[in-house]
Amino acid sequence: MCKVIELTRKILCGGAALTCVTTDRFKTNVLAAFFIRPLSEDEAALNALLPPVLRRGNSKLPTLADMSNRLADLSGTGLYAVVRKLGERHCIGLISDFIGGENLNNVAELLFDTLFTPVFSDAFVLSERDNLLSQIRALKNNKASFAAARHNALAFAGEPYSATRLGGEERAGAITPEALRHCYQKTLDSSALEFFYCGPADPERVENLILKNLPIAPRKIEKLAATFPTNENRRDFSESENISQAQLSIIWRTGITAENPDYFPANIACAIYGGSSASKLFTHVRERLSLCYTTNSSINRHKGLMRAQSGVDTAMLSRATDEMLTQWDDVVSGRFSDEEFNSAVSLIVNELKSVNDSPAALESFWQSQSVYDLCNTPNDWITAVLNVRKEDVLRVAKGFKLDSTYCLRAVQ
Amino acid sequence: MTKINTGKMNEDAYFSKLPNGLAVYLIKKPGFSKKAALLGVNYGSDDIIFSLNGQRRETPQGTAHFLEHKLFDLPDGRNTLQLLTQMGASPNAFTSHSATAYYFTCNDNFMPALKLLFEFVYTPHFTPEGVEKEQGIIAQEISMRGDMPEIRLFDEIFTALYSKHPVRHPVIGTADSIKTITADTLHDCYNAFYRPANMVLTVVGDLDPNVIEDAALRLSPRERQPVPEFDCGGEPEETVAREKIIRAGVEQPMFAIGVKLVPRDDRLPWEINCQLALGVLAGPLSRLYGELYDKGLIGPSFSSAPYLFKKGGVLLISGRADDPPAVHAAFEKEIRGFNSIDTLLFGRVKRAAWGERMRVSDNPEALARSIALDYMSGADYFNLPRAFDSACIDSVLSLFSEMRNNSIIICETIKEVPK
Repeated sequence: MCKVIELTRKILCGGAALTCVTTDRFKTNVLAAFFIRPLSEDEAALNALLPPVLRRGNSKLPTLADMSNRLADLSGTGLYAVVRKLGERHCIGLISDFIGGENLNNVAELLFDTLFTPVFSDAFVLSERDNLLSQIRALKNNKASFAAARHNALAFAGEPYSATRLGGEERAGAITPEALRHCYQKTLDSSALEFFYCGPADPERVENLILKNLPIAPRKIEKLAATFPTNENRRDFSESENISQAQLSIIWRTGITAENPDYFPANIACAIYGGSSASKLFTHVRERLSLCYTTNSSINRHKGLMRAQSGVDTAMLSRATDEMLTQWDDVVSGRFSDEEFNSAVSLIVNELKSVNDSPAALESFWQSQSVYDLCNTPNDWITAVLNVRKEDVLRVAKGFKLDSTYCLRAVQ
Repeated sequence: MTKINTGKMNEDAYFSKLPNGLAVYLIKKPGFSKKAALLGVNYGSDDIIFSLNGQRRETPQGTAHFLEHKLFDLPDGRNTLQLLTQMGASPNAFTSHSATAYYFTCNDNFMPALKLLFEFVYTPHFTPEGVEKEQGIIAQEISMRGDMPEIRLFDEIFTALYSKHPVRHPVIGTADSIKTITADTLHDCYNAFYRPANMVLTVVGDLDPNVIEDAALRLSPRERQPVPEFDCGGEPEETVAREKIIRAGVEQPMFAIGVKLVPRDDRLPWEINCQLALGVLAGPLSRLYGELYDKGLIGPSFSSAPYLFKKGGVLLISGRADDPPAVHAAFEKEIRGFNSIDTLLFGRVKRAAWGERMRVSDNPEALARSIALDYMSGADYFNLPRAFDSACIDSVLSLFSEMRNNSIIICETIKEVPK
């Protein structure tokens, strides 16, 4: 018989916290550790370089081969260097997924050795710096996400959010081993540390494992701020690339972040607009007008923004932009049916219910909660979503302010 | 339904073959709220030439994918994608070289969603207007793929390796080929391939096997019909081109090395042996990977995987590199000198591969997909433990000797010079 999922969150010593999802439902267990850094243009590349350098080797497993062999011996355990941008927070760390609860102690030891006793040689730093540069350059290979990143850089210029997840190429190329060691020390000295575990072990056992291995003394944790300015006038940006299909991105500032209860009606408004194949964007821009293959909208609760995107013919950019804005006007004006409203609610509720059935989704959900020290569960969210009325959606959607449009055009 | 002995996979799984030939799997997941259902058709983009009832047919490239797009429309004007979403389900579909699949995941309303899945897959409705509208959407999809270098590499490697086999054509077709597809083309292909005996249903979730079997029996056509025979065009062992360069707007070259394999009948053991061969040759545990990584010739983007399809298979190795020819040369040198496998290394590669496979079990959607694709390729997913147990150094090495007899092709992308 499966245990019901139990959630435990505890603040540990030294600015560290542990979130445990206790369940024997899955074959896969997850153990993760993340430092929470402020996002900034100056430090983004340094932060992004830390996890892969740590992942290269530790005091007990000094080479990549040693590391790979040990992971294979632990029933094919995975250990991943992960960098996430959550609003203006930069989450950097390691995630391990492994089969078999009996491997927990060994995986925890491996994770801690890798985080706190890295080899950190000059050769590792320079080699991973090249890999980071390669990753940064490869961002351009996905035109939709490249367009979104360019739009962010222009729309949020002067705000930390303009920084990309991996940092800029120029700053990445200038990183020296000394600078990265300094960044590592600063991170150890002042950054909050979030642990996550999903598996059958009791939370006390996981907590003891962490406390036994955590070499961090009480520290003064850096307070992290976030910025939410607005712009009075819509701005239109345009750039060209050697591409076949143009990319269109539209940003609205919502001013609604994670802790604001208006997030739930905002989420429904976004789902009605472009959250699924029943949405206005899909139904009208793709199906009725055949203007595109992909079109969707998404909401960012960390920065307080909504983005709509589409890949269209350059010749159709103007028509697609007008149609996408018209569809949003329809949402704001309440020109959506009960079916569209209910469909949006069902979509969100279904996604939230699914979170509890995936170790990876649980890890991702709880990180985005813990970064803002929020404790409401997927079930709490479902209750909040089900309580939203059409009037709430209209009131909240009216507050979205169109910030800017961005077109990545094909070179003529 | 019959309970399947899944051995150390430790799944609560059931199977039934209905009188009409439809295969039905249920993998019960106690305590899971999420459920997944997938209805797969053994009809992919490679099935452009086929024989049915003694007649040979030739159809345009991209027909299977086009059909997948159009099947969501119902005669009364309802769009099933939208209806499923309104039920709280997340529907989707995909077409590969070998198969087409329609699927959804949901937490509530599973049975109504399953009913709708059967209804739209078994109710073809193709009109000239609908086909014309879809041509615009798919033209945009083709345009989008043209901007994705990894997809272009994937498509090009097959054109470099194969001269006759239809795998050399892109799954989606071309801008020209989709213009020749008509409502009649879709009807003909639908009637030939969308037959229960050519299909499989896989369901994953906390559900009752008898309820699933009853629903499948009730919702699928009764009669058992013959299925088409695949024609691979008489592919020779030789490759078409040793090296090909394509141009795309990338900042750093990308490459794909493809090893053309001689097809084998015993699909699952073949796939596992291919996976292990790549693991010992070029995986993170291999000598080659360590050497290339240490020299800075490759980075974390370097990956390898077998890609098997009807009457063919390719070992794919790809990534980004400043000097793809150097990676290619190192790879070829490694193959030439490869005549033994260290026992310790082999054990580790096997353990890592097994762990990777077992992690799929926690993802209902991925599990449904793996089981269905294996079934349609003639394999049984639940034979994995046996396939792993039987894989040994000799069986993997035999693949190496075969690899040495084949050509290796490299495709590299180069930054385009602005006009």
